[in-house]
Amino acid sequence: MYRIVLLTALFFSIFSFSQEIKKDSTIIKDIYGVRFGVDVSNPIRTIFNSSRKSIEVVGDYRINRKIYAAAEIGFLDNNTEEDYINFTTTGQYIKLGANYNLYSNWLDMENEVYAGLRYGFSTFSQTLHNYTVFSDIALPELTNNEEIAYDGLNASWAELVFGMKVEVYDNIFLGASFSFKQMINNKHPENFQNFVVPGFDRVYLNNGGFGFNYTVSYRLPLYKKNKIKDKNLDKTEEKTPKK
Amino acid sequence: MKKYLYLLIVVLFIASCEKDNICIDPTTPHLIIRFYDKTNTANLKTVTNLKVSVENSLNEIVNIGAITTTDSISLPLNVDVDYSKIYLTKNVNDTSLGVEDSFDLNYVRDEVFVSRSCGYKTIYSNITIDNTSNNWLENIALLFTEVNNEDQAHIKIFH
Repeated sequence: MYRIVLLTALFFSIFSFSQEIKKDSTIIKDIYGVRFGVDVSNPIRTIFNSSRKSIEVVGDYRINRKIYAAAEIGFLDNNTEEDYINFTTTGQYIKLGANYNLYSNWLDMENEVYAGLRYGFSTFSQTLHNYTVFSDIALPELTNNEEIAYDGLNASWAELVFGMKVEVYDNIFLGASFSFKQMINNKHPENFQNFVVPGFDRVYLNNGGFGFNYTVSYRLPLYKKNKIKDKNLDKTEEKTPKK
Repeated sequence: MKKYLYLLIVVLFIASCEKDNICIDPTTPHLIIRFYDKTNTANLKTVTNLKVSVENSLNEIVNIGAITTTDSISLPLNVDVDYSKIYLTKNVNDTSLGVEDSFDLNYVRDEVFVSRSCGYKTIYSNITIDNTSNNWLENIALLFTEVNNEDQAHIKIFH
């Protein structure tokens, strides 16, 4: 019985495979459009860490076979509790750049494994709620609870993004990405630092950082273009796709 | 496809290391005192069995460190008030020879940002010395009116 099931499955798989090959000889069209989405990682992080509230919307626009212009816009309200300082960072950010699709799709599939670049810019403010100075365990420490507000701060940075997007349903995509960030300019107030920047998140000692997001997006199809037509864009496309 | 996934996982691991969680930067500087010979003022002179105490903001006199025989000490100053009364007792183990001296340090405090993990430190300026008792101390010389590092002595004591 088991053998029969296996044979049937094998038969059908061969059958469907040969069908796809037949389809390959017809003209395959790529869909071009604009994609809008939201990041779902931020609301999930807020569930586990109530001191961090953030939203991010993402979008991209397909320029050619491989390149998508991409942007992210978001907002962050984050409280950081360290041993001797407690502060809140509030602000918004925009990231602009492009993704290059490294993945060779089968037929009319529209998945992506991409590398991308972004320029990020944020305007924000920081509020230092309290800080504690100490000298020695033998002497009392001093906690200053006077709130200090630092407004009108800004920062800009570059990001290297790696990610993937999978079309799970017609025009509905799930995405995941990871990014390395490096500060270009981080205007910090006198006698304080910007350890958290909206869109950049934690700024590490080397002015670097990293981030990730998970997105759900919808593609608004605008027009179709023959996949074969601009084959000269990438010669490797002609080879059989790697698994 | 699989290799990209692996790359993503590896990258996540590397990037999640946090280096700036432990406070290792110099924070509030201690006051450094060196003891010199009162007759031959260029020479250092050790103090035997020296006990160092500081009066804190709660008017408690707390001992700093262990009793030592040394020619230099480093002691913390109060970060919550603009003064520290310092007690120096030599020959503390010997009831007949034990002698206590004290003096007041008055100063202005400033809190300077250090780092994420250390927060702020206090630096002291406009330091003045008052109410010096002279049981075994001959003279106190203030070398700097600021204490903002521990690179060199701030006070010379001749005895």
